[in-house]
Amino acid sequence: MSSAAHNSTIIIDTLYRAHHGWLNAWLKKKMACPHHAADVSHDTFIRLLSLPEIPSLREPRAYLLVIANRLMINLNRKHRVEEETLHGMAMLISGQSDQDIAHVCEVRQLLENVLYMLIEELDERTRKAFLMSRVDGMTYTEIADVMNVSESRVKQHLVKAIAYCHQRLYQFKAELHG
Amino acid sequence: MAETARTQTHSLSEQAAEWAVCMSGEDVSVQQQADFEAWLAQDKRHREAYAEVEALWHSITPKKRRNYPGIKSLLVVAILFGCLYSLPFSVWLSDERTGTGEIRHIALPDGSYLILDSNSAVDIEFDAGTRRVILHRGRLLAEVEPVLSNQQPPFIVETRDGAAKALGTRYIVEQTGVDSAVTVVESQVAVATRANPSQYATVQEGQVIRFGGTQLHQPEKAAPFAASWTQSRLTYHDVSLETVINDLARYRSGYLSVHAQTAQLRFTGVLPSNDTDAALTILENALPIRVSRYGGWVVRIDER
Repeated sequence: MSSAAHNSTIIIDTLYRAHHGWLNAWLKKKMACPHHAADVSHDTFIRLLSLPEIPSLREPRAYLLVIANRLMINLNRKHRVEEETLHGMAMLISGQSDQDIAHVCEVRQLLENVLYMLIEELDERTRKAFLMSRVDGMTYTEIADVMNVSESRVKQHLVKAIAYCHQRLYQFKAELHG
Repeated sequence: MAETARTQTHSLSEQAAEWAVCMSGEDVSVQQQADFEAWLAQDKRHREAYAEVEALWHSITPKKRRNYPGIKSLLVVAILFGCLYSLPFSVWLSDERTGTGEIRHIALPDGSYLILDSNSAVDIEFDAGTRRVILHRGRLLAEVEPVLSNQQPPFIVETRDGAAKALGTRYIVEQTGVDSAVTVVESQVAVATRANPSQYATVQEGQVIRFGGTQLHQPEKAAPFAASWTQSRLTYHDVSLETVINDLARYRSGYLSVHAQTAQLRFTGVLPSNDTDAALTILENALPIRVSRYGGWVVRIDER
């Protein structure tokens, strides 16, 4: 147990040395205040440390971007998910077929986080319908009842949400494959 | 040029999303199914976009699932997990525990899944030669993906008392304080005790077998709706109040006790396991009993 904790400290330390400067520079470009940028890059590593299990991090920068982006959005609610984060995520998904299961599971968790961020860019009702369906596992009829709209309206919300996420994530597809 | 590409991606996203939402609905008509397959067959890009959208749609797992996935989901599973089957499994270890009142769905790397009942604990071991789930406490329902190649290892659930090997698809394993039980919901399961691991008894659909570490009992007819707990419903037909209260205690923190004589009353009905207070109220209305609560933690049931 203590050796696992020790290991993860070593992993974080290596990551920090290799990528902290790069992450900090990226955040400075994105954020108006350099102090905020420094805070966010620091918090990103703290957040990694607090995970119950350190992911294997095949593409460490993609992971770091997702976490940093989440923190940035928390600071400034109106922030959109940055193109670089989505690009990194798209890269991770597209390389999935030749990876092992543990990696696939990690990517899936990361993707879940990115989807939650993307959903926040949509209007309230669309977001609500999506969360009721995907997180609460409610049927279309149940969502329609709660939202007091028709079932076909619920489906429209869901189509909008999922098409939006797909489009944002896969806009880089041509670049990745071509 | 780039703009055209973007517009195309956009409409393709919407089409794929429309199909994903449509096919996830409760009532998919034969016509819709046919239209969907035709759309998939029309263009390679349609299949790609659909697989991508499905992956997004399923990357968030609902905390509870209402229905078992039917044939249409098997199609999706075939598309999604097609690539996973061809992979050599790396070791996939996981320990899962549920708290009181929690029912958790766990997706396994081969596309099978477990529903873990309240207050249960399992270890999951998956690698190239193993598909093993070890139940340490409580109860689970295993829905096993049909074996697509004979290279795939058997799917086994172990308890303290023995092992249950899937010959088919869906079964429930429970470990109580004194013994274990396997209820077969669909197809067949081979069960062996820990003392005689090579001596399997085949349990048929609709049967339940109880076993200890050394002794297998005869299979009996299982109670109807044995899997209803997975839907947070406890279904009873003429059982003792004691049985009902023992079940409810599984989903409730605190101390639940029933007067010995009162415990012999018979009950028939359906109770919600995710709201034990409501369940107690239903019992109070159905039977001549009085439920006294002391500080919300201790509940005592007497004859009225």
